[in-house]
Amino acid sequence: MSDTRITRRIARRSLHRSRSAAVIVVLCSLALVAAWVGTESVLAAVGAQPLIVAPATAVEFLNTDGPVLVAGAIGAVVIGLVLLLIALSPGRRSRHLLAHDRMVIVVDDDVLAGAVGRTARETAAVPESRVRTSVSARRATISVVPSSGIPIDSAAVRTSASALLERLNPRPGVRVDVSVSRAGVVGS
Amino acid sequence: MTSSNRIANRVIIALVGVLLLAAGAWVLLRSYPGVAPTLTLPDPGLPDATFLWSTAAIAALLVVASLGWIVTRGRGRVATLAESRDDAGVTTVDSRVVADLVADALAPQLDVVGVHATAFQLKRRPALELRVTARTGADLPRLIDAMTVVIDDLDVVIETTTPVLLHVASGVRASLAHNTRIA
Repeated sequence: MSDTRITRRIARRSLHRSRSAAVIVVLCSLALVAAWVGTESVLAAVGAQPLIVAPATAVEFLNTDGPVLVAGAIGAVVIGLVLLLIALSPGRRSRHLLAHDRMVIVVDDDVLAGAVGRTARETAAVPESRVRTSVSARRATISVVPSSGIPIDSAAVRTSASALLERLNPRPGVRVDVSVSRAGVVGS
Repeated sequence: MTSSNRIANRVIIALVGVLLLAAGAWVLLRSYPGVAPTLTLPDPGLPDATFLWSTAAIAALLVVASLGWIVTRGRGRVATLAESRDDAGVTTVDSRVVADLVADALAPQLDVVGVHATAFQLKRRPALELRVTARTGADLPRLIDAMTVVIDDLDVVIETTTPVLLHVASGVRASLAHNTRIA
C-alpha cells in the first residue's frame, strides 16, 4: 500500500468511530438472547421443564393480539431503526486533521479551540476568563467579554485567529466567528 | 488505533437492526393485516422436534459467532515498532523506547501533560501512534514543530520512515492543571 493511501487510511480511522463498542453491545445482547432461546429449545426437545418460557407457549403468544406483543414489536422496530442509524451514520469524532508533510496530525476540537482562544486572548489583551472559544466541525466561535470602557477590535481578533488556522490548515475547514459582548466587565 | 474491520462492524450492526425491524414489522402486520393486505406472512405453527433442534443449533452458532467477533475487537497493537537485521544480529525498537524518547524531547514544553506511544500494524506495515495530552490553551504550532524535530530524529535513529499518527488530545485533568509560575 502506498504511503499516501496509508496516510489517508490512518486519517480516516482517527476521525471516525470504529463502531466496535456498539457492535460489542449488540453482539453480547444477541448472544444472551440466542443462548436463552437455544436452552429453551433443547429443554423442550428433551421434554424437560422450561427455564422461563417454553417454545410452544412463546409461539402461541406470538399468534395472539395482546398489547404487550404490539408494544414489544414497536420496541423492536425502534431499536432496529436506531441500529440502522448507528450502522449508516459516519460517526465523526470531534477532531480535526492538521496538514503536515511527515505525520498525520489529529487534534481534539478542544485543543484546537484552546489554541485559537489563546491567540484571541493575546490579540484582545484580556484575561483568559474573558475569552470563550468553541470549535465545531466547520466553525470556531470566539466570544470575548471586554473590560468596561476598553473596546475590542474584533476584526483584529478574527484576523489573528484566521491566520493561526491558516497556518494549521485543519480539515474540514474551519471558519472564524468572533462576537464581542455588549456588556463589559469592570476592572482588569 | 486498531486493525478492526470497521465495515464489518457496521454490516453486523445493520444486519441485526434489519432483523429486529423485520421481526417487529412482521408481528405488527400480523396484528393489523389491513395495513398491507397483499402481504402473505408465514404462520409460525407449533414447534416440533426438528424445529426445536434446528433453533438450538442456530442459536449455538450465533453465540459462538458473536463471542468470536467480540474477541477479535481491539487487535492490531504490537510492541515492536521496527526491526532490522544485519550480519551482526537483529535490532528491534520497542514502542516504549519511542515513548521515552518523545517524552524526553517534549520535557521542556510546559504545554504537554502526557505522552503515550503505541506501535500498530496497518495492512502488515508498522505504524506509530503518539498520543500527546496537551494542556488547555496549548501553543499548537510550537508543539507540532517540537514533534517534527523528534520524529525526524527518530527516523534517523531507527533508519526507517514509519507512518506516524500524532494525536493531540485534551485531557480533563489537563484542563484542571495549573501552569507552573515562576514568581
